[in-house]
Amino acid sequence: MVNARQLQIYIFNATAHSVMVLLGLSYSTSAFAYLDPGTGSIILQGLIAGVMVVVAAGGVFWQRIKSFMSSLFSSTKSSKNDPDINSD
Amino acid sequence: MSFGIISKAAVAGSFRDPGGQVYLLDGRVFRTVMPCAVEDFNFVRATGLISELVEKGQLIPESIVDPAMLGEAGADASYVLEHPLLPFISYPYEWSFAALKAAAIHHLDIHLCALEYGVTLSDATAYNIQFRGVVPVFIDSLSFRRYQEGEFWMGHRQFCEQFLNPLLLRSITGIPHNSWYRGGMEGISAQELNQILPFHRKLSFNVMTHVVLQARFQSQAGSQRDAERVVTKRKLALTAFRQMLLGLRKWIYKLEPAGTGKTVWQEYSQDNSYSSDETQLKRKFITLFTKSVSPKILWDIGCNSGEYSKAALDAGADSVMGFDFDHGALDLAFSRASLEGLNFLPLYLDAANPAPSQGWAQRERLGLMQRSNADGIIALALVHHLAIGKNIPLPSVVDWLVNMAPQGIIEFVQKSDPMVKELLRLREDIFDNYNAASFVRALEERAIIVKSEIVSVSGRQLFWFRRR
Repeated sequence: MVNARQLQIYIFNATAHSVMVLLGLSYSTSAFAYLDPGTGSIILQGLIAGVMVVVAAGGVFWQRIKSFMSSLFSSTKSSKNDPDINSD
Repeated sequence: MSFGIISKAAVAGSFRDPGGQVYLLDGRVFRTVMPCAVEDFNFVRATGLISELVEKGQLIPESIVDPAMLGEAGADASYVLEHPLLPFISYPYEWSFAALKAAAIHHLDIHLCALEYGVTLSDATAYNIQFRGVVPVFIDSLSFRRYQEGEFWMGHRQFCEQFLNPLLLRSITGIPHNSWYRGGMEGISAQELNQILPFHRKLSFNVMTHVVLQARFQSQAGSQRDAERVVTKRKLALTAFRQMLLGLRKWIYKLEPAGTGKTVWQEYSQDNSYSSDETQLKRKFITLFTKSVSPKILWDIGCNSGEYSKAALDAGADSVMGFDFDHGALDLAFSRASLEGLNFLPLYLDAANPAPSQGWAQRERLGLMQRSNADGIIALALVHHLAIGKNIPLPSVVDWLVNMAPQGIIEFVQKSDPMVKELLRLREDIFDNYNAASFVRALEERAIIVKSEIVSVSGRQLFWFRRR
């Protein structure tokens, strides 16, 4: 169990550093807050910042594919009242 | 009662933000906007965000009033705002799973809307959300400030601790968040949650990032230095910020208490238990009482799934706060209120151990009785749970209930009733004084009995009282 945990930790760190290098954006900013954001949260956000941009871009791409597909099907019937793909 | 940290009228729970403080004066709610917050205040109002959120009912309304209304407390303020008074302030450790989930989604929606206007939220505390019925409303109009391009989500850790992790606790392990949340008051940390989640549940992208990685990064050596490096050298693009909020929203929207799936919500059916004679009689009695006393705020102690709360609302009660210790019943009650649009908020309460005054100087979050403002109560099928289930002396139970509101209805359940027999099944009957005569004596010492009625063959009896 301990070994699995150590391996798990190692993989996290390796992944974190690789993803940072691959997807990181390298410009600077300043931050201020009356609330302590927490070191864990900030490092995490630094890590996933690039991933989130990719996910967002992927989401837009996926929506375009879906609307293209639905327009293909709906063009044979009616082009009105396309479902809102963003609704829950 | 004295709130007295800064001023007698200052609400003790609002001291953390130097940008302003909330004051309660003669039943009116004021908020100061201090000079350090005025630039953001003006910027945010100029964007039109506040008026849009207020119009949609997502944010509590505000109006700028004469600072002199607050006397000395308003002297240094750039502005003094007035907000409408909410009927009751509840805390996240009193919320059901469904209420906490609704609050979490509400917070994320407000933040997403704010970003559209170039505005962000400075924190993510669950105490900034209150309920009107079961509809959440954001109450801290000073949490909004100008968004700076590339800035990180400063409230992410707090959002996880106060919304996400407590929801995951119930959703993954089946343990309700309430006792833990009440103990820690600020929610559940990623490190704590990470310790108890089963390994296979950590393998999803969302749990891995928001819980496991966050906990890992928080506790690793040198994390302060790493975090400083991230903040000074890197940016969180607005697209990434929005995606974090959207991803959390999508995830939380799908969370349900473990073991219930969607059945709790789907199995809800309207009025399915109004058929029995006993229920009809109780309903009639509550209707008569409510029409006679027209309560503005009625407390239903032991509300179960809220059928008698609904009866009181149907009869003209303005709003009902329900309390129960059964999480399944609370989820049903929340669902009922939501589906039927009732002005009814069901909250978690162990009547033998109500929420205490706690936090900084033991005044930051007030105990249930300090917040009690009911002008009527109903307490059906409750007394025997306290007097027999918890060994609380019968007069003490009556005392607690009568002190809660000037009038109300209490049900007394006889020892011969199957429910009481069930409570006594595995234990010695040490309750010689538990009988209708003792109950009536205790009630008459404190109140006038306006009306009483036997409503079941087992002798269950309702008492309408008016406090002396």
